[in-house]
Amino acid sequence: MTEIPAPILPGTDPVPTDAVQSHAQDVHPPYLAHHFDDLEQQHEADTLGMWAFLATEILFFGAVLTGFTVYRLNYYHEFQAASHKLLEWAGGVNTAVLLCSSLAVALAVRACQLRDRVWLVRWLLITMALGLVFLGIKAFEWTTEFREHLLPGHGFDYALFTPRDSAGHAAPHEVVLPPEGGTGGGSGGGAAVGSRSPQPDQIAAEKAPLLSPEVDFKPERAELFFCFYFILTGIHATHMIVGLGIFSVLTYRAHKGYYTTGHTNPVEIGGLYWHFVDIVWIFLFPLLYLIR
Amino acid sequence: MSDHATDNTTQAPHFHVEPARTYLWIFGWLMALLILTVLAARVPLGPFNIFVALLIAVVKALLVVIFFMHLRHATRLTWMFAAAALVWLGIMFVLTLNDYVTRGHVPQRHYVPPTAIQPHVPEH
Repeated sequence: MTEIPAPILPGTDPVPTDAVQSHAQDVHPPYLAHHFDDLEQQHEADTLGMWAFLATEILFFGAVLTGFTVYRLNYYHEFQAASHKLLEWAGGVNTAVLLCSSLAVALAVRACQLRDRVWLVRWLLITMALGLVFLGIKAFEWTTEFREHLLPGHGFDYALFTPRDSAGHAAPHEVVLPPEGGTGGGSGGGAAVGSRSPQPDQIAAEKAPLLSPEVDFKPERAELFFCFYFILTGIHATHMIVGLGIFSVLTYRAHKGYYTTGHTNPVEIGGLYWHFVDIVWIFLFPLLYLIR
Repeated sequence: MSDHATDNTTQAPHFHVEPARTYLWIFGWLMALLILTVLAARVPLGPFNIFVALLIAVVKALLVVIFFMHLRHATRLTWMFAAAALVWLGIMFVLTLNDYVTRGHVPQRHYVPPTAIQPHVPEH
């Protein structure tokens, strides 16, 4: 066990009543900054500061989500078709992974409060492992979407979202009419087929099962969905990477024994950050993946 | 380590130690709500699907905030900071959508200045 460093300031401060008594020769615990009266004040200030930061983070993500909401309302059909291209199972599994990691963080904070160094380090490592699993699944998703030409820009495949006629040619939007006999079939039955042929094109139907014969269906709007998708998941993944960095430092210092002498604030603050990133994903998953 | 082991019994009063059971229960609820939101997306509710999905997401977020992030043991000032973020987020959403959602609902009329109106003269 590494020795806890000596207090920075020799004590003119009064001994706080809730100071850790294991180092009785110290006038106050070494982790109490001298500009705070006591540990409780320091804890409140730390927590409040972190929440102020999280408030700015909420607005940071909220701005992108506001734009997403506006376009989702206006371009609903295109966003719906684009959302179906995402790997729903991957998003769901990733949500579960992040919820597990949040539980691990909560238990890490608890171990820190109970001064259980071994389990604190274990829970922190479990959290980081789950974070890496999340990023791995995310990277797999991005790779898949890149291969399917869903990345906005030069390589985007508009044909994926273009209604097709029976011959497989991309039909001009004006020609695509509602199929005769009503649309009361299944989810994809003949939805993407023009009115000229009664035989539904299975390939086109499978390739674009949800393209309803909207007259003003524009594939460019599906591309816009993927702009939002990659930006939102990208900044979320960036936050995850930052969180992994924070937790690396926390784990190292926890291993050194800094956080099991009553000094719980850094672990709690880092935990708040991790939980926040989890909450962002809780909203991103239904908003991006579950447009049905 | 021995002195730390004895310290396990004495807690500094500035934090509250939850029983691990509470965390496990909240985790169970979160996973159940995750399954619920995936299933609810398959029920055709039309425009209400998004409201159901958002409602579930808000409940999940509240569970995380209140229990995992210890907001229920935080000070009133911390509550205010957390609520302030939601208030500003609400302002951003409401004022933005106030514009975009109502476009086209208000009938647009071309303003015709009174001097441009020509009196109708019947031809005889």
